[in-house]
Amino acid sequence: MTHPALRLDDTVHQRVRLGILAVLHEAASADFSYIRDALDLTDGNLSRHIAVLEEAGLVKVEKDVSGKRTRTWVSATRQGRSALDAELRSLRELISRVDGKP
Amino acid sequence: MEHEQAEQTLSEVGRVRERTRRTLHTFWYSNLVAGLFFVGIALLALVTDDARILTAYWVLGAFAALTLIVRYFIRRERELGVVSSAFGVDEAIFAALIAGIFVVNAVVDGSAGAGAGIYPAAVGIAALGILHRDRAELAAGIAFALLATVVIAIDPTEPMALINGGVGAILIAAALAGRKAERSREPVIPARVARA
Repeated sequence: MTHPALRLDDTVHQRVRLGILAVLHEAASADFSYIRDALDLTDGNLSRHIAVLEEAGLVKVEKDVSGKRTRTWVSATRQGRSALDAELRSLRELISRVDGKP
Repeated sequence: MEHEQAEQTLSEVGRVRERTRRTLHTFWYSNLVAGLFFVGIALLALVTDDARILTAYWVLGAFAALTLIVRYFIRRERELGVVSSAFGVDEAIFAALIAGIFVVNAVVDGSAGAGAGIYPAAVGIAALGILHRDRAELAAGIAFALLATVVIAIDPTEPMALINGGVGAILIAAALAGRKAERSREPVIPARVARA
């Protein structure tokens, strides 16, 4: 059986991306500025990480034009939700191994 | 990865999820609208016992209340920029709560039935309070259970006046407490979890 640390997915495990997936796990979708403010990020930083997640098929990005404003809505795909669950499972397993719990 | 780092990451993720959940699941507005609806029916029943008027109030009032609540959540979520699932756990609990009230009222007769009908609402509301760690909602659930017990114990000749007035007052109190709690929290989430 592989060590849980080896099962951590680099795409998901990066802290910003983990934060993005954590927000999206609780919501059907969130707009760009909500995620940016929630995680205290800059626009450029968030864009870069969303692009990585989108490329990996973990989030879906949609533009919505309402009035004069264009909003970018991001939602987690099924794969993205599973990836976060798997990541959290591995982290818990890692902790319980060190603590000596089964 | 070190143990301490793993624990910190887990707790940060937990905090982000918790805050998003709290942002999405707020009950004060629904409680206020529903509370006013029940106080309205209690007051209306004091001035008329015409079944047609009371039925019309139930049907139109419930429709208006539901419309107000749905519109509020749609507007709120659009403004905040975060949208909840169309049918999530909260909605499932609410549907079970309504179904429970109908089942109990069909099975138990008289004022005992009217009183017992509040228990499913008490369980549902307390469950929402526990699920979302919302003290006002949990307290409302407990108050509902107490109200049901009082109605069954004293067996009043007109139980609906006591039930509607009591339910309305509890919901309005929960709305005011919930609103106050929401205002005392940080509005949006400078979690600083996720610095690259």
